[in-house]
Formats: sequence, C-alpha cells, structure tokens
Amino acid sequence: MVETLLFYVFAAAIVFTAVMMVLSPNIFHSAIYLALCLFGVAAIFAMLGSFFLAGLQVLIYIGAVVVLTIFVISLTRQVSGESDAQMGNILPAFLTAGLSTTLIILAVLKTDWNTMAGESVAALEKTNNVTLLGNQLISSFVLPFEVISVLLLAALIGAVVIVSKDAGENK
Amino acid sequence: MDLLKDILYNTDKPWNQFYGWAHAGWANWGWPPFILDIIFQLCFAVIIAVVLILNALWIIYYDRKIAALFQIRKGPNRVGPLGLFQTIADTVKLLIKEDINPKAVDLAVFFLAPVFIFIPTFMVMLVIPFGRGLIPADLNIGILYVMAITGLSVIGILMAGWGSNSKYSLIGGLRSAVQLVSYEIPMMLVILTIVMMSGTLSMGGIVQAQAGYKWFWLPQIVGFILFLIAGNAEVNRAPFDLPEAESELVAGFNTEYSAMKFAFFYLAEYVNLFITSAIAATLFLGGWEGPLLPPVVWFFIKTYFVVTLLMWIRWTFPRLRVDHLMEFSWKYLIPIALLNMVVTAFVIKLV
Amino acid sequence: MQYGTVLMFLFVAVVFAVGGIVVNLFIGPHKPGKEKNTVYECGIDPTGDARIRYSIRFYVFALMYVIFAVEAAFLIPWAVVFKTVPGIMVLIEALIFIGILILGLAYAWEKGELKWD
Repeated sequence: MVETLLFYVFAAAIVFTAVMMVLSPNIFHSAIYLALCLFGVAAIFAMLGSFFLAGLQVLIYIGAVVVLTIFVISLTRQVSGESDAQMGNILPAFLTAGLSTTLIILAVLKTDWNTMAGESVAALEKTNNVTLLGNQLISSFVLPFEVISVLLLAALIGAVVIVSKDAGENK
Repeated sequence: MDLLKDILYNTDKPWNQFYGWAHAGWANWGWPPFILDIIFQLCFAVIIAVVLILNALWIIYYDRKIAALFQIRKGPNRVGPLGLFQTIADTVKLLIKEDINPKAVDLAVFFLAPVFIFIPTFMVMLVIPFGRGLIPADLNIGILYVMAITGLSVIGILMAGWGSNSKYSLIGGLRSAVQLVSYEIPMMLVILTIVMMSGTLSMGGIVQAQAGYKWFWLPQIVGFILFLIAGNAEVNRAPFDLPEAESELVAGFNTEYSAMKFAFFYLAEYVNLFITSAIAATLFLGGWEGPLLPPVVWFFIKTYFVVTLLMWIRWTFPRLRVDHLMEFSWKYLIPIALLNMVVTAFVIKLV
Repeated sequence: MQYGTVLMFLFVAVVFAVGGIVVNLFIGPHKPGKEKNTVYECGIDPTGDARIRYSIRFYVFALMYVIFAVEAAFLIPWAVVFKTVPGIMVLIEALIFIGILILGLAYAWEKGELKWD
C-alpha cells in the first residue's frame, strides 16, 4: 500500500517537473526541473528493486548530464532572463514528441522482458543484482561492452574537435 | 554488563533482539508493521542529524585550533572553557542575523541553493559504517550511492553561482563545479580499484573485506594518496581553494549569502571534510576495526587522523594556480589512477 | 526498509535546511536598503549583467566528466565480479575497454584541450 502511494507521488512529481521543464521561460529553471525529474525517475528505479540503476541514474544523469547542460546554458547567446518565444514550432513539436512516445510505448509493450516478476523488493535488497549484471557484462554482452568504449571515444574526440575549431576561429 | 559490552562492541546483536522484540510488541497492538519501521527510520535520521551537528561544531573548533597551532597563535579562547563554545556562539549569531536578498537575485534558486548543498552532505551519512552494525542503512550499492549523492552538490553550487546575480558568485560557482567534476574522476577510479579488491559495493562489506588487519592502505598506498589529494580538492580547501580564492573572487559562490543561508554553506563544507575523511578511513584504514577499544571509538580515531592530515595539508601548502589545478587532475591524477587500477588488476589475477 | 531510510533522510534533510532558513527569516531583523541590497562588486555600483557567457573550456571538462562517469558506470559491475570470475579473459576485456578510453584522453592531451587558458 505504501509502495503504491509512493509510486503515485513520484509519478506525479515526474510529470509535474517534466511539464514545468518544458514550460518554464527561464532556461536555468528548466535545467533544475530536469534534475528533479531525473531524480524522480531514480526513485522509481529504486522502488522497482533496481538499486544499481537508480544509483547510476543519479550519478550520470543528474551529476554529469545536468551539470553539462548548465555549462552549456552558460554558453548560450541569451544567458539570462526569458528565452525567445518559439510558439510557431509548437505543432510540429507536439507531433514529433507524440509520435516518438507512442513508438516507445508500443515497443515496450511488445517486447518480452523476461522479468523477475516474482521477486519482491525486500528480497532484491538482500541479493545483489550488480553481481548478476557484472557476470552478464563479461560473458554474454562482451561485444556491446567494448563497443560502448568506442562510442565514448567518438564522443570525446567529437568534443575536442568542436572546441579546437572554435579556438581556431578566435585566432 | 554483558549487554553494555554487546552494545559497544557488537551493536548488531542487541539491535536485532530489540528490533524483533519491538516488532512483536507492535504486532500485538494490531498496527501495520511499516509504521514502526518508519518510526525507526525517523529516529535514525534524527540521531544522525544530532551527530552531524555536534560533530560539525567540534570540527570547526578543531580546525581553528589547528590553524592557530600552525600559525603560533591562540585561536578561539574566550567563549567557554578553552573557547569550546565559540562555534555555538557563532551559530547563534548567524541565526539571528538579517537575511539579505540582493536585488535582481533569482529568488527561488537563491533560496534553494544552500538547501541543495546541505541535502547531499546529510544523505551521505546514511551509509557510513560508524561501528559493527552501527550503520543507518547498509545499502547494497553503498559506495556507488556515495559517489552519486556527493555528485549532486555540484548542482547546488551552480545554483548558488547562478542565482546570486553577482559576477564573483558566477565565476566562483563555475570554477568550483568544474574543479569538483575534474577531481571526481580520479576519486571514482580509486574507488573502483577498492571495489575490485573487496568485490562488493556495500560499505559494511568493504570493511569486512579488510578484516584481520589487512587494511587496504598498504597495498593501495598510491590509491590512498590519490584519494587524499582528490578528496581535499572535493572539499574545496587549500591548496585547492580556488573557488573561494579571497584575493580574486572575494568568497566564491557564496559571496552574496548571509545569515543562515551562509551557515549552511559553511556547515556543508565541514561536514564534507568529515565525510571525505570517514570514507577514506572506511576504504583504506579498515573502518571501525581495531583492538581493545569499541569499534565506534576506532572509527572516530581513524577519521580524525585523516581530518588532521587534511588540515595539516591545508595550513601548509600555498594555493595552486587555476591552470595548474586543472592540469594536475587531468594530466597527473587520472593517468596515475588508471595505471594504479590496471596494475592492481594484474596483481589480483596473476599473483 | 533500507531504501525507505534513504527517503526518510531526504525528508529530514529538507526539513532541517528549510526549517533553519525559515526560522532565521522570522527571528532575524528585516531592514532592506538600497545600498545594502546591491550585489558586491568591490564597493562600486555593479556594471552590466552578471550572467555573462563563459569560457567554452568549462564545457570540455564537463563533457569529459560525463564520458568518464559513464566509463566508471560500466566498470563498476565489472569490478564487483572481477575477483570471483576465473581466467584471464575478464582482465583482457577490461584492458581493451580502458585502453580505448586512454586513447581518447591522449588525443585530448595531444590537442592541448587539457590546458586551461
């Protein structure tokens, strides 16, 4: 009962902060709402017994991606105050968002997740799904594991290239 | 007498007995059991809050006394015996001061920044093993939780810098944030190495992995030194106190803050110092393990050993230059931490 | 139970911090003044907007932090099982993973992006 109640509290918080993130005229407030929204998602992960994912959600999405977002905000043209109104694009934006959301929901419903539905959260607190994940990562999923490092390398090189081009223009 | 001994040395046993007894009694009343759990959790949180406050009061006094020792002066010595009540007097003073909101601040962000900075420091205390079984909640992702939650304080710092509408605050906040993220990486790599050696993420498990006085500081001496350097940078203290370099940035991201809001920044800084030391003691110095004395006493001895070490560093070294600061992390600490990790992996597998 | 404690700690932390500031608002004096409420800028009147655009250098370091945080995230499960899995393969896999990232770090270093100017 408590868990159901908490789930709805967090779900409402996620929806509210997500909507506020989109509607807030101040871009910095949007970033803060994004952080709160992602925190709610981490709470949902923890309630589902996926504590490791919840930890990663906070570590990477809030601790790193939102911080990156804020640094990017401090680089934008109009840093402070209200952003330009972009109401002209609202219909295409709605269509794109709606379509992609529908696709994701359909994909989620169609996929056979092979879940551990029988496990209770209390049982998962005792066992350790990190060990399970680690064993999978070094046996069945070795190739994706290595490909991820290539992906990260590409991201790093991309960032360096973008910035050094900027430095060249300044000179 | 046996009970007292159990409480001091084996807190697990009497606590489990009490917990079972309380739940049995609670069941007789016919109430759902989760309410009792919530009451217990609230008690833990309040106890930790009291520990945090008392400890912060003491650690601030201790820092000022150590500083005085290094600079051959007396330090606080007026309020109470040996000046012991100086921090309490300071707190009361800050509590009754005027809270100034400079013009054009972003009020919501300005108000929430000290809250956002304080919350992580308090929440990290949750997984610190103060003694055998003396841990509010031994989460199975313990050390990941520490990394994740401490990462949140960056957002609070950026909020303070942004919300203040002051150039010093903004520059101080951005600098502080970029410094925190840069030194977070060598810290993570060192923690990964420790996880590799102990095979668990739980803080209690890491202490158990060092049982029998096989403390990790000796095999991981490089990691220990890296952790101390990165930890010192994480708490923004000299020689890494650039975000609040008085000569260039006035006071960094908390320039515009006054009264209780300022007090929370100050409190968070010292609690962070304690937490970094406590985690260093847990990861490298065997946590609460030690002969004769109760575990909790050993935990505080080790933690304060690291605290003193960090204070010694703070009052001995001059401030780094900002370009040196960033290069020090990216060009020295991170490669060394990576190398340390690879060498440790080889040693574990091949020896 | 354990993760409920996390929630309780969050709750107590919020109450503690907000409570402290609100109590201060009530018992502290409140006398705003024009001079008092200006932001600090060495005693002179502040000029221009404080929320200026800032160096792109910050962006590079933040992005590199994201990349290394993701790297650490993938290495955590590996580090947990490292000792228990027999054989040398587990070591070689991680060496490749770390090696590719070191390439990236070396590239950034070579390009002079690790410099702060």
